[in-house]
Amino acid sequence: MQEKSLKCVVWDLDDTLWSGTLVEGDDVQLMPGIEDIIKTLDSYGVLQSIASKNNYDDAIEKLNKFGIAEYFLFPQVSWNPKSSAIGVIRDKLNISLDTFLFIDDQPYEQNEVSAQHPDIECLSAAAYVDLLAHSRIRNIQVTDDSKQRRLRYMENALRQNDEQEFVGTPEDFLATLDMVFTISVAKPEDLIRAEELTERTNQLNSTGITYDRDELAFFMSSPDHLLLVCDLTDRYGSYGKIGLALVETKNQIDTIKLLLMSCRTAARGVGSSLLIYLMKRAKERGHGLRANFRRTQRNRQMLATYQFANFKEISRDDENNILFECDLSTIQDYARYIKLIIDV
Amino acid sequence: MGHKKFDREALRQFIVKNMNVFDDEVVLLDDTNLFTSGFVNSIFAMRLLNYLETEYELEIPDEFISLTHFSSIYAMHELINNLQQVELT
Repeated sequence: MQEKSLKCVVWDLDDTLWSGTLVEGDDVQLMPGIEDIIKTLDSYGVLQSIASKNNYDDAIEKLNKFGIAEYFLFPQVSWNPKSSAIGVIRDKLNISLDTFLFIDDQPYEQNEVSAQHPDIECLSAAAYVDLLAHSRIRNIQVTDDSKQRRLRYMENALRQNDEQEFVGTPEDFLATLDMVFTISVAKPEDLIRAEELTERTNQLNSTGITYDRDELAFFMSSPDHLLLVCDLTDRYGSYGKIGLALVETKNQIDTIKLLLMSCRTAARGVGSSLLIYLMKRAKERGHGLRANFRRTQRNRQMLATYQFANFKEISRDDENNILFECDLSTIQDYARYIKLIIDV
Repeated sequence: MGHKKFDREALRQFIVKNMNVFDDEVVLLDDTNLFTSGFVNSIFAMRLLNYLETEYELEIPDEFISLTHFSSIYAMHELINNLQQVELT
């Protein structure tokens, strides 16, 4: 099996990102060539952060002086254990720990992180020179979407900040976002991103089955299949292509082979909107509606999306592959705070 | 050790506070169906699920995740009671 591509690199500062120890008053200098590596990783869509034991303000000021502060999301600079710093970063980014890489010159820190988070890969500081040749970085598929990834996280941090300060119901807040959700038939230029979505999406994913672009190209042109992609924008910016549905039609029955939504959109209600669209579509055509589902450790939210939309289990095989069916007698309305554009 | 007793009033407050439909004029009774109103969608159902799991420190098994079990205060009370019973036995 292919190695899981890295999504996040967490850097130590002293004697890792720069030479010298900041609190000891050293005139610290960036490691040779490291700025290019950081920028290249950024252009690949690899997120980067910091776990450093230092004074926060001093460290950030130094990063600003070097002109690279903007490349690090949610930098954790404190005297807390680095394992908890990484825990915070993980929670903020909402990506799984087995896609993290931690770089630190101290074996003690690497061991402390490994002990708490065994899924994280740790590297010693000197290894940074070969970082771009790392197998889990070389296997990254760079898409238009990946180049925007850091920006999207920054927009999202703004959203979350405003959401925390918002007074009113969660629905009132969603209504302030001016969300526009577009469902369209996949085009050839969508296929790389579609492949990436099947690989990267875990939580809001109905089966976890990945498809490569050749398979997706087949479904795109197959008369028995419908391949949909979705994108979402709001007043803070674009979330990009964030959702996908693959539907097979046979004998007047539509079967949703795969339904997924990027975790960027969690709690926005767009997963339900896509599902409601597929329900209405089947009903209009007088088709039945079924869905394949495979329960994984992480896709409980997708299970709930189906079951709260009245999908019921009609069979289950030895490998826990579930077949859902929905009688389409009651279909919920689309969320009122989302403007829907259907381009099929 | 006993389980936390179900608090219908706390749940009622949570629903009123988190939902636009139930303003001051509408009385939310124990058996008012939250979903036939058409105003409550599955996101809100997710929120109710999270609320109940946090409040009563349990995990609602997959097979109980359906609108019927979350359709009213009464239905949720039943659900939690049943799950707490199972935990005891």
